[in-house]
Amino acid sequence: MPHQSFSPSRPESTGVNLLTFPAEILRSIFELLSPAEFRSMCLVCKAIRPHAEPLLYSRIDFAWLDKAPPITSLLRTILARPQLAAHIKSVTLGGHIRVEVTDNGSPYIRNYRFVKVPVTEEDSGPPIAFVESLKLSDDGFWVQELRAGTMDAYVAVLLSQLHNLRRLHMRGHFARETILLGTLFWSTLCEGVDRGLPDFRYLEEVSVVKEWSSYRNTQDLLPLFYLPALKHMKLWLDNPAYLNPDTMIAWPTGQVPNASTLRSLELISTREPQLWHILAATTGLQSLKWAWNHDKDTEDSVIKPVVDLDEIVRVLTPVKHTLTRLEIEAFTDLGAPPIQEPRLNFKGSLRSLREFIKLKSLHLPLEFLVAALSPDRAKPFAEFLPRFLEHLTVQTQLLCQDDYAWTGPTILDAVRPWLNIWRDYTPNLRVFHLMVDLDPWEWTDSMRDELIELGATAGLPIQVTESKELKRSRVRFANRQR
Amino acid sequence: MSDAKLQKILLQSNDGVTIDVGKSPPLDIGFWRTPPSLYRAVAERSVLIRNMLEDLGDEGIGNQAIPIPNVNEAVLKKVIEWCDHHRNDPVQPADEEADTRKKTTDIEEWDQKFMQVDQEMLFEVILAANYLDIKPLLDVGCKTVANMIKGKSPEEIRKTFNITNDFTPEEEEHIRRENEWAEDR
Repeated sequence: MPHQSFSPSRPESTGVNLLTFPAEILRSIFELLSPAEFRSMCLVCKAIRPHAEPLLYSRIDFAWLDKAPPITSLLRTILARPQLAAHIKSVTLGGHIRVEVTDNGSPYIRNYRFVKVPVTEEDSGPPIAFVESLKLSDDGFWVQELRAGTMDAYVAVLLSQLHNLRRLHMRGHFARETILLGTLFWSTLCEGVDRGLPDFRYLEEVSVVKEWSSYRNTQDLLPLFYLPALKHMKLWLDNPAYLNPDTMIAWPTGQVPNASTLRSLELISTREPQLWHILAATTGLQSLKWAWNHDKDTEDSVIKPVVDLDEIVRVLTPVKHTLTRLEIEAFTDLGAPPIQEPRLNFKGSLRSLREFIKLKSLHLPLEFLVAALSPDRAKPFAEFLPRFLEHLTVQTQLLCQDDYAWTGPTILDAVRPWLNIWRDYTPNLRVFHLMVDLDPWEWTDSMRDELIELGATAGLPIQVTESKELKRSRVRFANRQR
Repeated sequence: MSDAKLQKILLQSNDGVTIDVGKSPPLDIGFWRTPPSLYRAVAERSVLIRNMLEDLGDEGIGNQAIPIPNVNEAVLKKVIEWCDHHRNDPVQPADEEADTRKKTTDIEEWDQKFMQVDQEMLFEVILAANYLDIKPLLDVGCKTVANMIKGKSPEEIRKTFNITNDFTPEEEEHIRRENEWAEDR
């Protein structure tokens, strides 16, 4: 390391100073600092700068709220100095979209008008030159979107520079439009032409989660399943209702990807037919979190307002021998403000879940488990539970205001007979966790205490978690009763 | 191993001074001396010395001083003082250590006072901790330096560490512009 920039303070000095430290000690010190300090360190002197730069560039963390983040100025730098792009290991593009409801009840995005990036010729020039250098069969759209200041186009150029990327997280405005993101991943993972783009061999963790279903993104995001080292992924993946109902999911290469490295997958909004096709590709999957969503706008031949529980288990069977953790949450009109929830009917049962012998942790809506909205039609669920289950979590997440809605006493009636026989069916079960989100007159303190007491008698620890809304409205309800 | 077999552990600094691990300050004050059974616990805070002692075996330790060629007397005494204070600290598992160290620059009170030395001694202690492989002391040293950097402008950092700015104003402006994207962070 050069010494010339240091002037010793004491004549008797042994010459030990910050600049004579071995690189690994400097790194240990710098790792304790924040990005603002990395930036300052880059400016201290020539000898320090090469130690601070890798840390400044290792994590790109942009939040897009009212103002578009400075992605064009980052691109200007890394297109001019590609060695800086090599330091980038993690990209987080976040910020929430603010959805509000107008007086007539229709939702709109409050900060929608900020959705374009303000760009000058100077900003768009180098990215356009880069895109043109790729010699894509059709780069016209990408170039046009760069000129228009579309964030998707700039994010795609950014990712095109990152050969050492390990983590990519996108949400909010960043996840609204993903056409060019999809083009990039398709070019690099599916097209089979070497354009010098990154092969993303280190990319292990990906999430692309929009908060609004206005854009259909399935085709954009499917190339992600071809990532060679993918371990964890979270996607809001739309139901491609427009696709051929026979194939349901059109894999971009025409071949099912081998996503066997994927260990945990979280899918939002995807429905049964698509899920089956996806799980057929994820042969090593251990953890699945599925936000099942019934969107009444997309009701058609594929998506009916019927919850077919047999079908739900059938589409999970590709991962029957690997899955250790399954969580299903149920929503209606996810992402939209609750206007009028559709009425759902149930058929079938989760009986075949019993064959998932590796499953240790299961999290389900109450209705999925007992297979009905009507308590008098509820089925005994002991025999549906996977034999080696250790944790069972059940959520009272009522899907619609129904005449037969579950309440405290009916939940107790459904659980009571199971508690007599649970050990015969699930000998390894260690805890039953009930997450309650009911109205205070439907679920009282004494019901909670009774349930816990029932568990104690049956030798099964029972945990009850009450939602914040329930706790708040219980206080209001009690005050009104006084 | 039995206490009877334990010998004094002597270290020799690079300026030729032999230091008895059991006689390090502050335990050398008054009549109290570190009992022999503690010598090893103190010395073994250093992974380098622990490995040497293992290689030497009980017989080999004798009254022979172990040479520490990279550390002078003043620094070695300071390091032994730290090891003595921390001789009973539990050994952290490697990955947990890496994890917690990155997240915080909090330093316990005794260590803060211990690190209130002139900058040259601070740097010498860090280098010695690195050489002797005393990870927790190295961490305390790095945190101390990091805290001297935190919240400071480039000019303040230069002043703190007596570093000369060797960038031309044009170079400085160029770097500023290069890293402009990170300004809000």
